[in-house]
Amino acid sequence: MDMLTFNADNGYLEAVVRGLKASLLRRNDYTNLAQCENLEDVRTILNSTDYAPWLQNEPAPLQTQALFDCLTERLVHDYRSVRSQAYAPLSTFLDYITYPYMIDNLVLLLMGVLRNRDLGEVLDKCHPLGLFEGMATLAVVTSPEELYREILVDTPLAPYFAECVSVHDLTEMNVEIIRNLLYKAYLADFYHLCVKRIGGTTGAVMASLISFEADRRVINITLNSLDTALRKDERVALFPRLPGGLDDEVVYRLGRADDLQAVALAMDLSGTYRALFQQAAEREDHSLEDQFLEHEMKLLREAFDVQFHYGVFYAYFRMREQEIRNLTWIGECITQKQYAHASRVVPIL
Amino acid sequence: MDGVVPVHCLWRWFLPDCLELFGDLFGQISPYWFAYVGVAFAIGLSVLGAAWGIFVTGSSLVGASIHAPRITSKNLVSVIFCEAVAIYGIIVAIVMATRIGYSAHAETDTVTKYGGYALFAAGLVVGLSNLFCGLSIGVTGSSCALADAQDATLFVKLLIVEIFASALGLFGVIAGIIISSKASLGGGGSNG
Amino acid sequence: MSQRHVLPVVPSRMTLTQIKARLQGARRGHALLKKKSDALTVRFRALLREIVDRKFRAADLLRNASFRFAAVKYVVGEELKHVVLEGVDHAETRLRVRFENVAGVPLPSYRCVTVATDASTAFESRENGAAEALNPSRSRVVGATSIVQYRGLGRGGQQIISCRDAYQEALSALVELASLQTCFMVLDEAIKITNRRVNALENVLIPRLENTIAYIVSELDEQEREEFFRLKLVQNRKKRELARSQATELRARERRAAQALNAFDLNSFHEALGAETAAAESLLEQTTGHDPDLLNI
Repeated sequence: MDMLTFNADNGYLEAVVRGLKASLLRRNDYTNLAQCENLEDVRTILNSTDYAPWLQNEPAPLQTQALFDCLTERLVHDYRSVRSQAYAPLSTFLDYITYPYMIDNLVLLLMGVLRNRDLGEVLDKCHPLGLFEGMATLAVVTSPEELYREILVDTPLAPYFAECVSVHDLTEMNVEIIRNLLYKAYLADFYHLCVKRIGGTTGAVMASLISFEADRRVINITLNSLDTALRKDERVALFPRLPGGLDDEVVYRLGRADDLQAVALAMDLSGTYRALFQQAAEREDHSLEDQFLEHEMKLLREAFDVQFHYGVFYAYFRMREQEIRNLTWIGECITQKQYAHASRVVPIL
Repeated sequence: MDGVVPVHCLWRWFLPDCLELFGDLFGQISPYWFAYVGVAFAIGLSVLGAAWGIFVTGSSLVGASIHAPRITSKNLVSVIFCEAVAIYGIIVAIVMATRIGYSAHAETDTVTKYGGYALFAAGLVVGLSNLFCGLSIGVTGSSCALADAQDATLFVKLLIVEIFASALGLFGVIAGIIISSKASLGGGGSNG
Repeated sequence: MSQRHVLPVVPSRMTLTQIKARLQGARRGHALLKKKSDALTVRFRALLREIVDRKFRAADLLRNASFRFAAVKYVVGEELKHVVLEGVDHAETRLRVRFENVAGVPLPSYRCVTVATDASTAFESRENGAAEALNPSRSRVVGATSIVQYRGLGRGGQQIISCRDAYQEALSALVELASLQTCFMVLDEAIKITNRRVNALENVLIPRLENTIAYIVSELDEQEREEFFRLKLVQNRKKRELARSQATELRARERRAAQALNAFDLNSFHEALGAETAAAESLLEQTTGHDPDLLNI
């Protein structure tokens, strides 16, 4: 039924987003970009794309940071224009897309509060997509308790905070663990929104995307906590678990893994990630993270193969993010004269 | 359907004594009622299908044409196909309407009764086939607009799909015209 | 020329001894300073070579590190920068300065010291010298107790750790380079001062002392000669006076004899004697005026 009713509210926006997706850089664009000698060449190439109006006001010697700012500005502009035209379930869905940024911003604020920084300054560093109404009032917050109260009152993340951390935890717990707990709650909630509340094609498409995101976090948390003081039960507590994700057996093994070998053994049990793991081990210049990104891009591309669902919005913004990463990487490589590495990006299309 | 009526009650409607009751019920209704409801179905469902198709196609078309303005004129074909569905409905409705004439004793006449049922069926045939045809054109048209915006070479291929979808409506129209051509109410139409 | 390079001293034997002692001191000092300067120069040259090596190495390490950072940004995103900046509340790596004595010049040498905060104990500082900082596993253990331990748990942990290690390596290389560079500057200064001193001793002080000695010696010789002459002159005069007094004595004795003999002719005799002494005095005056042996002092 999505097919018949979807377009009533969202057909226009879906088509707009698909049009925006068509303006993403392609493989041959990246090949061209990788051959640039300096950032002005990059600008010349980007001027033939949709980025032209965003870059034209930048002063002549283009800096990587300026490039990044322009790209982010574009992403934010795209998001806002789409968000402002969205109807009810889609608007909630789009809000959920910004929650990861909001989590990052709040964690940043929390760190600022814990270290008695001027929150006004910290606010400037927040990602523009992760801003919410009333964020400016947080600038006057002085203690973690106040921040906790403000978060509970003002932000859409309140349920996650209420669920995962107490006021006490805010000062005692490592912020990175708080961040991961919030992320876990967010993924579960997002999954619930897509599969249970929206359902249909959106649910089917988003389930695989969110499950992948959750699985990636499980594997990453395992790998990155191997040599740290994080206890195993704490590690398991951080794992986002969603139906349709990794098998219980795999997760159990990952939770008990002590070294890379144990992780690899656990990965052997799951089809998709075993291949990614093996490829990461085989290819010299590709880390597991790159493999994950490649796989994610594949899933996102697949999301565009289906029509009449919200997954394209999620996929588009994730792709745009990846493009920003790619362009910043190329910019960094060019400014650092590491031309050989500039082609080592994960192409989106 | 909605769980209020128990299933065994539904089943009992199809028992012979029940069917006889239905026969009596339909027999009491004027054939003109059937005829005009048929016409209403023909045009109403057709227009519903066309309208639905147009908004499904149109919203996608408008969105996609922001980033690829070239597709607008080409993809108007999809809208025209949808529009054609409504036109089929109107044509069939007119044909059906010409079959209806007035005569004082027509209500008891079996030919008229036959004509009433025939027009009712023709209206449903045309209306439903045009409704689904319109939906089908709408969905394919929407996909066609999006695909064309991504890759211009896909347009012609998807247009063929659309043409096939649009042909579905024609089948209904043909069947409807054949059915209605047999019908004549109160001396309406050439056959009467 | 020679006037300028002579010290304003009174030429005397005592001054001569003093100056000679100074000259000897200056010569010894010159030799010592020369040695010091040579030692410093040897060190300086070695340092220079090392600095060039280290500079290239540090540049390589930094390039590598910033490239790793780009890789981190690729995986984690730009906000990591802010997170790290906000997450730092005290400097984890500090410098410890030690002085090394090379030929009397205190050369600073810096070492990286990692200060790790521990929740239970106040501060635990661990010497983490250049060699240890190069060992990534060690620094990771240090990092594990710090506040940023779980950085990149969700994603990019490996990249962050490798970036962190790369920067730590680059930092210790930079500190080494800074240490060498400071040594280089201190040594440079020291060598310049020493060389200036050596040159001053060699070209100014020692020649001047030598000149002074020569001057004093010549002056003393002159004085000696003068003394000799003066002695001679006095001797002469003494001789002459002696002779004159003897003559007078003789004459007086003669006169007395004559008085005694010719008491009546006393007046005329007196007259004659007076004229003779006047003549003798005028002769003496004449000779003092034209004596070529006398110097005008």
